[in-house]
Amino acid sequence: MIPLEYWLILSSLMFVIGAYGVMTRKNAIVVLMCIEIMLNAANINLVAFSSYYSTLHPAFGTDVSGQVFALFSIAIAAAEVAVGLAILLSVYRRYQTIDVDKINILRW
Amino acid sequence: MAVWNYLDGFFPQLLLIAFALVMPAIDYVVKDKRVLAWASLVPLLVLAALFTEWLFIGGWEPPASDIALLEVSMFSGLFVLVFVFVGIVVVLGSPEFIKADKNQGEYYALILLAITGMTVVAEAADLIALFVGLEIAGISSFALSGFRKTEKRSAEAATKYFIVGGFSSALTLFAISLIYGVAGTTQIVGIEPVLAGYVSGTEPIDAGPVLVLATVLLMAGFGFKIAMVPFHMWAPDVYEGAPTPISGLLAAASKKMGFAAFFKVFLIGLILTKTDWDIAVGALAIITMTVGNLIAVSQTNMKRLLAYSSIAQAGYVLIALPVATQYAVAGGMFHILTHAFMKSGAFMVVAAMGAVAVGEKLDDFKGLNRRSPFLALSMTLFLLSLAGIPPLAGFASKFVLFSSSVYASFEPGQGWLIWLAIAGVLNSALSLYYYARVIKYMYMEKGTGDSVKIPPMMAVAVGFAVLMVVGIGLFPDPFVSACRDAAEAFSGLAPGWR
Amino acid sequence: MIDWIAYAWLIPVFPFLAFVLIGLLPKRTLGWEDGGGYAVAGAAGALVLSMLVIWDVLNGQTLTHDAPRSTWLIIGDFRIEFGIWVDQLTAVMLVVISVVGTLVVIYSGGYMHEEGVGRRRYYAEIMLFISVMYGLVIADNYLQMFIFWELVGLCSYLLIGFWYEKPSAASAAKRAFIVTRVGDIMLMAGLIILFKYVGTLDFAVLFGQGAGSIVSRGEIPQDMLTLATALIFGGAIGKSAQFPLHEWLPDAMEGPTTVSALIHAATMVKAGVYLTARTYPLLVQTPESLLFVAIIGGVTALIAATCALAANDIKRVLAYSTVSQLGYMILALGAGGYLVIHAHEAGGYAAAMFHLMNHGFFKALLFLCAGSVIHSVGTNDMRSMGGLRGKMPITSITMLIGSVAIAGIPPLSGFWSKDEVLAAVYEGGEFDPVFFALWAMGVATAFLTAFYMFRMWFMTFAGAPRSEVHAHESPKIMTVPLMILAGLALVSGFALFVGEGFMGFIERSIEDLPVTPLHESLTDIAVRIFTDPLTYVSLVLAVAGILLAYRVYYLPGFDRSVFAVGVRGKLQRALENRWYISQFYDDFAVKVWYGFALVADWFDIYVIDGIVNGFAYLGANMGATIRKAQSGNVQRYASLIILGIVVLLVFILYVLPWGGW
Repeated sequence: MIPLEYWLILSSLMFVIGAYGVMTRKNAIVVLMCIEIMLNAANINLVAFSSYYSTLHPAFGTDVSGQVFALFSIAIAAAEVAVGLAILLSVYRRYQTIDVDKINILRW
Repeated sequence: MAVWNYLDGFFPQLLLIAFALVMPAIDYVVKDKRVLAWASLVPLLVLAALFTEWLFIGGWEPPASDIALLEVSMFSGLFVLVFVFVGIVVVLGSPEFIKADKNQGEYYALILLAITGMTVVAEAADLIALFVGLEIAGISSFALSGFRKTEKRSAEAATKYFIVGGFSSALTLFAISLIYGVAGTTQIVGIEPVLAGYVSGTEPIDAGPVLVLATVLLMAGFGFKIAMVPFHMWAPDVYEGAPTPISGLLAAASKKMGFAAFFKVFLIGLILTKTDWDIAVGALAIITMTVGNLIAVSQTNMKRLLAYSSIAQAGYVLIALPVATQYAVAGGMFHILTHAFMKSGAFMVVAAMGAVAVGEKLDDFKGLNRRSPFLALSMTLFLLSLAGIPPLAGFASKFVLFSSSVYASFEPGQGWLIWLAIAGVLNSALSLYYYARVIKYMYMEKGTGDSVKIPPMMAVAVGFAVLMVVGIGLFPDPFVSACRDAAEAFSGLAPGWR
Repeated sequence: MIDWIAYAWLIPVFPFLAFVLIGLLPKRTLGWEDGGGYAVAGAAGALVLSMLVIWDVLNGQTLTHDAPRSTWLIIGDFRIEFGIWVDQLTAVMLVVISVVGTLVVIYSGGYMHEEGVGRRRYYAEIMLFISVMYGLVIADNYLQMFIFWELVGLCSYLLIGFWYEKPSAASAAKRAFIVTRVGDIMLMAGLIILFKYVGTLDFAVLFGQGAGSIVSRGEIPQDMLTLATALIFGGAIGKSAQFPLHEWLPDAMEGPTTVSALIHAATMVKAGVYLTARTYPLLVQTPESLLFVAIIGGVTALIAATCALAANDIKRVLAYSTVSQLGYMILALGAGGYLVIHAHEAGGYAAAMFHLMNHGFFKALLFLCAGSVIHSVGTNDMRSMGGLRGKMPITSITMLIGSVAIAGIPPLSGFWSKDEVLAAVYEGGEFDPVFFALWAMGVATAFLTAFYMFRMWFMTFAGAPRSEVHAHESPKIMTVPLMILAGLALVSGFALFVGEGFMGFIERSIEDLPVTPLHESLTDIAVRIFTDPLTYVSLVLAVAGILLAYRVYYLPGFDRSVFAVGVRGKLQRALENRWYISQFYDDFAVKVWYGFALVADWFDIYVIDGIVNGFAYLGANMGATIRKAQSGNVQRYASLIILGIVVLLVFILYVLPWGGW
């Protein structure tokens, strides 16, 4: 059994990597992927905690809500990507680019 | 029937989803696209009538939910009513605005779905339901803000909204996963007893910094929805670029959904660690109202001005969180209610001006009184109400809200809360500066152009909002009682909450 | 016999209905003067009902502690109720508002005739203005009063800026609104203090003397009550244009003259005096605040009178005289409080309200006369008037009556009330020598008042015409109100001797205070006035002022160029620039406040974005990121979110524990 800490370190790293990517990558598709990495970091957390509470902490009994939550959030992430790609497609048609730096006519 | 028993707690959502699903089919069949608006008004009006009866008259009661995901109470009921009313105003204002666009069926379907998501958030008893609701509303409104695909600004607004929105939902989900890790449950009311165990020391784990991290991430995630400084940067851009009725939906309803989530998670789930977050939220409330009002002064686009004004208004409502009394929750909900009408009404005025090709720049408001006295007078009333001038609705709700913090500051150790009220009052005075400028433009500046005829449905939408703004201002008592009942129901959700 | 007083709440309803009708009715149904008929009807309805209510008050009825109330809002154990409060003080205000208001509206029928389509807006706004002013004086708690107080401010903003095409009018309106709002914030703070300690803003509880004052009941500490009353008076400083917030009122002359008449004589500025008088039961418990009130009043009276000396705009002269006369009223209220405390006399309080009433009549008269002149010659500048006496006989004579009244020459009204004011201030000197100084300032003001009023009259009506204008007398609809007001200015001073006498009447509104009723009979009052040497001091000075004005501005051969050189020149310029107070505010407002806005804007663009950029710079690879970060907007937002999270974490985890929370 892999200890909980390992999962948490993994998820934290993924979360930070994702956040870093959102802030720095200029290709909107990559930004989208970084957001997915962040969401998946949270999913790992949910599943890891769920497993931890079910096996290592019997006081809580078998707890599946974390795993159910992860399923929900995977489904939501899929929907989000679908809408996101559609939006990026339409922005590409208008701007001929998906470089997020160049999409900035709306500002102060 | 067993399945129905299981589902009837979802009654409002099912009604909305059913109509949302048939909307594209209707679009395919009918020639006159206004039929779509009428069709999507059906579930909204039904819900408005039922919930009004429940909250203000008594008689009908929504079916209770059998499953632990949803919790139907007067608290959620009032929020549902706000969302539904805003939905009515937005739908009424839409047909003329989007008459030249394609895919109108999807437009109304997405509005209904967004409202569905908001009602799920309002009724959520579980973090899973809360997150799912936030995402349903969020994804629908991403698509809505990019509805005008042929328009550069609309596409850009959608992109920005989507990137920042996705980013903050990732933050929210990560925070929820941490809370789940600390508390071992996703039930919002279940968090507090576990935390109580930590506080009294029967549990071995020190959850301190992790919980603080989760709290702060939640502040960012919910703060994004309500456009709290410094998580507000997306709001002006998106409000400006999105179709104007959708800006109204975002400012008047989506923002309120953020407050519903904020209230539930912070005042029920995290109430025991209040000392960790109350000063931070109080400080953010003051910063939010001040920044919103200061930047609004220099705006030249009406939608941006309204965006910054609604950032400031979010700052006022945030006062309710650190005060955390029943009175404060009632005040916060009352302001949420009144703000929904005045802000959606103000956006509908801008939408009407867009629909008759007047424009949405501040300069386009010059001499509006000559061109459309009705719009000018309505806008004046909305703006004065936003500034909190009696006897309009904004005054009554600000009064209840601010006085709640004054009241709470008499408690020992809570003296600092009075600064929230003082900041609120000073900010209201400051905000009058830019509202009065708009009024001056409308009545005292010479404009160009002939008088315009406002499409009847838009006039109905604006007129309804005016009626509510004036009516609540003159007779606030029934509305305050409803908010009080809601706050009482809210405090009934969690034991140990004052 | 109908109990009219119970229907006092209907008084504001009449003008409000007129406001609604004028605003909403289709244009073709508005009739005479585009809504003027509705306006006159609304004002007259309120006038008639006011008179009936006043009749009840004269017969000893009041509606105070036991007035019926209706609930507006209940929050927990906290109720907001609205009710009405009609006592002798309210009655005095009702007289002024109803008479002056109605006459101004009638007069407007002539004055605003050429305005055309703007008349509808004018009448609607003026009806709202009168309505909320009625609402203000019949409120039975501070909250209700405050609401109407704010509405009065809003209406004045609209009316002062009526000719909004003129930039000066627009800026004057804004200025009036913003300056009075400074006072409003002080008032609000004072009310919050009262509410915090006592838990209610109802007059009945706050003024309740039966169960002991709120201090003696231990509900509020003495020092907090002092702070509260001083702050409440701060509201009056703003609204009644007292030093140092007096500059908005002369600028407010940019509105139509009828509006000026209404603001000056009947409504807005009297609200501040009314507030101070209404707060009397609290003020007399706080001598420090009373002293503050008196000093502000005395200083205002003198400064404003000096400012009027060098003004060339006829309305501006009148405006400064209003500020100066309001200073008198405030001074009398301050001194009167000392009399209540130490001598248990209501003399100063009564004198202030008496002066308020008389001033209401003669100042309305003066403004409407000025309006008549402006209507005729088309300019405000007295330097291009002159010699109008022959062409405008009625206006010139009625204005002369007004000028004599305000100068304080017996037997016109101004003499009686000004004398009572100065007598009360002098009497206050027994208890604090500061009042002797204030009395001296008051007497000097009396001299200056007589001088500048007659300077105005001579420059306008006497001598030879100074410009080519075809002046003519105004139509009857304007001159008849002038004659009525002139009649009132002639006789209203005798209210001192009618019935139980004005003093005896008004002092019953504070009979709960430890005040012993005046035992003077009405003849005693007359004897006292005419045997007091101080009466003759101010009278002689007033006559001297008139004679000086006669010498300088009427008789030929006086070289006025001496005002332009040396020390006198400096003084003249200082006066023309109103002691540079206005400049100071302009510098303050424009440079400091606008600068603040600029700084905020700059802060947003450079500092906040700069921090965010810096953060991205640190977070990303050091090289080419700066440029990218500056143009990558969405990512900047995301970076700011992360920055916000980090700051919040540091704040909660380190700053708060370090601060001891």
